[in-house]
Amino acid sequence: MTIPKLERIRHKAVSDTLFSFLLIAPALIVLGVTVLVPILKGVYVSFCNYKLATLNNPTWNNFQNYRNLFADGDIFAYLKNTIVYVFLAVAIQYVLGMAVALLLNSKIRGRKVLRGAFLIPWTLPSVVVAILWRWMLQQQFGVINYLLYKANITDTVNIAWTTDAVLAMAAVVMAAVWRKFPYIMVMLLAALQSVDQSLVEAAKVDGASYWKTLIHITMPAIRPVTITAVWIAMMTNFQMYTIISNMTGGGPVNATTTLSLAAYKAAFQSYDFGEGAAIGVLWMLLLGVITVLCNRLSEKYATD
Amino acid sequence: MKNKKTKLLSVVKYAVILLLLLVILFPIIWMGISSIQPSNKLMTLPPEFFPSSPTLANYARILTNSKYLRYFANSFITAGGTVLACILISVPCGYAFSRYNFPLKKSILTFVMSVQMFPIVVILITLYTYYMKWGMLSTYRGLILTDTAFALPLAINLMKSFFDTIPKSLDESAKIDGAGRLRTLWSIVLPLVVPGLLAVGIYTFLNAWDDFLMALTIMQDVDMKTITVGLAESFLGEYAYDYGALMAFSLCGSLPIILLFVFLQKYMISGLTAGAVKE
Repeated sequence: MTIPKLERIRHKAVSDTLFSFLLIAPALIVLGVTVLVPILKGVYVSFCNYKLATLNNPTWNNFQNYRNLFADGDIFAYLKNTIVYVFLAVAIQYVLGMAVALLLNSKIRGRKVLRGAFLIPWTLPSVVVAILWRWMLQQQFGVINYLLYKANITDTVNIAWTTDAVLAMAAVVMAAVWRKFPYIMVMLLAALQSVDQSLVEAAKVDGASYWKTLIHITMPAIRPVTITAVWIAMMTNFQMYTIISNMTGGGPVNATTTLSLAAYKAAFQSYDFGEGAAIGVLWMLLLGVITVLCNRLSEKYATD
Repeated sequence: MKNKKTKLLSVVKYAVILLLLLVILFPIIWMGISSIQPSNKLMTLPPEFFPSSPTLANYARILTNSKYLRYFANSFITAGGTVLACILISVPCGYAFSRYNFPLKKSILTFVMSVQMFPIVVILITLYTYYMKWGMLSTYRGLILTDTAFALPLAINLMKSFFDTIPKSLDESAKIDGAGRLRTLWSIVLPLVVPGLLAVGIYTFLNAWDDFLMALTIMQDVDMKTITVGLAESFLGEYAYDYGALMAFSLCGSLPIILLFVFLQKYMISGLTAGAVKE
């Protein structure tokens, strides 16, 4: 009697597996065709002569794409720009997002309405954000230049945001932060709201100050969400093309050209697909290193 | 004494929040103000915070331009198609990840989630050549396919966490009552995750509407361009330096998602946080 039962269980297990693979098959097919295969092919063509003329016949070119990149040294500028841009954008997004989340987490009325209002910039299309900030930062008649001048922060109303290397980077960071900080804010606020209040109260009873409670109780409690939110912010800022491209076009003289812009320009403006792919491969290597570091970090805290 | 102090503190707090909100929303207000001014009024100092001669002429120019109406339609078709495809694919997938154990489950989930890490540009390089061979450049299905692929990881994760909130005992009692597995999903569990479907739908729509890079690359024909690409082009060409028209155009291009957000905010925020915060 036991044997048929066992067989029945095994039969059920197999068909459960089959059923779940049927359920996930469409997703795997779409992601396979549009992500996995293109990425693998992308890595392959980064080692090939792969231009419009050689599109049907990519041939091995002995690291020529990579050697070109390193020979003119521009790649180091792109790497530096990417790291500066991603670091500034994520750091400011986090600080601003956390500040607003803490304010909204305190005892206030109309929290949901306020949260919704703060989220509006996040809903705007990135192209709109770029054009809007470009208009606000316009050299002669931009409202920001005017307000800075009226507030006596600057001594001229004529600030050329897009033709100065440092200011151009500041401009794209500002626009990107404005569009994206609400996302971090909402995640952190949700995490803050789920923090066990009895711990916070206990710390207060023990006489801990607001800042001490924040650093020793609240921040550790929301650490997993913080790491997720920061990681997502890093990924999306690495991919950022739209805002930078439409605000500065990567200029002045490549000062805001990140890896994302450089790869796109190489591939779709110079039609050197191999070179574009090579930039992408370096980018993936950089991301790989960062991801490993992030995982180490979250593992370290997980075992604490 | 203490009461007075906390009262003052709370007044300061509200003041800080409202001031911050004003600063954050100022660019959108400025977009609105600029959009109802003729361009010669915009190119003056000091800028007019209260327009002296408001006009809807900028909007009239945008909304009577058949080319731009076509771009709007293209954006609606691709974003709508992406939402549909994304829900059809992510619901069964999220359900499988939530309910069943199968070989390689963890690795597959990790792969799905890591998709957002891969450089979109590299993917576009290869897809561009594939689409050229398959005749999928400048087609709705081409753009919908790539938009769907990049919306899927989050959609699957969201659906999984929404399914996770439904107790498994429900599935089991349905099974005892003789319901098949598909029937259990379709008529027992699915009705309970409608808020999840809305969250996935809105989020996907927003992302597809926002997409610029993929539409720029895939939609080569003038007739097939989407609103974001059209906006960027008019900024460089037709409406260069015509910021009144640009702001009206920008506001029109944002309106569909702002409306969606205002009416369905609750679902969108639940979707934003469901994946990250397990309550």
